[in-house]
Amino acid sequence: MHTIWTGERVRLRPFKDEQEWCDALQDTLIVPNEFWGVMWGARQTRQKRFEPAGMLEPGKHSAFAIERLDTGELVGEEMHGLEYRPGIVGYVGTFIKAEHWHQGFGIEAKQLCYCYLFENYPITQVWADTLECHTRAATGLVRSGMRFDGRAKCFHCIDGKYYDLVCYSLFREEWERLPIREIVQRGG
Amino acid sequence: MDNAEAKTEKGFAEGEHVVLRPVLEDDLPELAKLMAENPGEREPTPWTHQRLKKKFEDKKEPGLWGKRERFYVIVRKSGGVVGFLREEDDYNRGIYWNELHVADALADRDQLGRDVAATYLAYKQRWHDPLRISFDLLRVEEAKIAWLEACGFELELTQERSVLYRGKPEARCFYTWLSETLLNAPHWEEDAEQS
Repeated sequence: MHTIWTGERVRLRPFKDEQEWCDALQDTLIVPNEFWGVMWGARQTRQKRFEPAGMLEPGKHSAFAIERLDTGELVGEEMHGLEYRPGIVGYVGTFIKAEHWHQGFGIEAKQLCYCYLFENYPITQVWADTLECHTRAATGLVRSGMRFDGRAKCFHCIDGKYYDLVCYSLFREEWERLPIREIVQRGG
Repeated sequence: MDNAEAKTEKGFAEGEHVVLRPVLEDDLPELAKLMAENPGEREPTPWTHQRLKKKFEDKKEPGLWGKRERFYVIVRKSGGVVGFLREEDDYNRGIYWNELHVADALADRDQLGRDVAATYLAYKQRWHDPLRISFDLLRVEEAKIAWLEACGFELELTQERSVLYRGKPEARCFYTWLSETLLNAPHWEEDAEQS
């Protein structure tokens, strides 16, 4: 199972160590997320999560580091895993540092992660969700090849207003038609 | 009420035919069977009495009654565990993600199932001020869908081909009840329409 997936703009790779993973997140998590609110976890808790397998444990909630190809900078993390039950659905979630937004890094990171998931697990689809007001995330999901699937009404409250959770998916046969499959380089 | 259903059981909530209550150790053998029978079971490993007992004795969250996940057994008023309801809190207050199962072989399954759905909803409204309650079911579980629809739950989301059922991918459906509070609360789309 390859752990390095390279596209035209970014590379997914394992985090070098727990320090790199925590440092990548700390600046962002120290303030509440604009949409999801407080996502802070104590360093000890994060260390505990990292230690068993460096955040890459097949089938469990995992994360790749996203690295820019032009500068080699770490720009974010690509979370992924398999949903519970017999594991025929994968999921992704992307986090890109603000200074690297609007350059397509998140879109390509998702597409590389689709390749990782579909090529290594017997899944029928990959699933993702976001809040309806998080239009940047929703646009990224569609541009990466996903389809809008439906919504859970009044799911999340911010400042006294309720927001729907919007859900997206990509079936295996749809992924097979994506151009990323011709571009992706597997392995280091 | 006929004699067969003379009230003997106590619980958190009492319906016409059943009560809902937390799990007691004596319930575990029957509960393990029901959990293994449930087509919508979330865990990939089959439930056995031994495995469930281990979970029941978990030191951090004993009694299948945790901070986020709680199990209720469904008991006939006259006695006997006939089903269970698994309740999971969302990180957001007042939001619940549930599973429900009533033993397949019961002749009066539909009657009990409808009673469970109504009893649970009334219980939550009385004590917990719920905002939204969702049940996660497979599309093939038509009886459960009918019980929930009879209580005001509606299909909200379908995830096609997402669960293996008898060797084939099956759709997972989310049936949801929304509170009046939530339906009448300010919503983001309203703002967008006004601007």
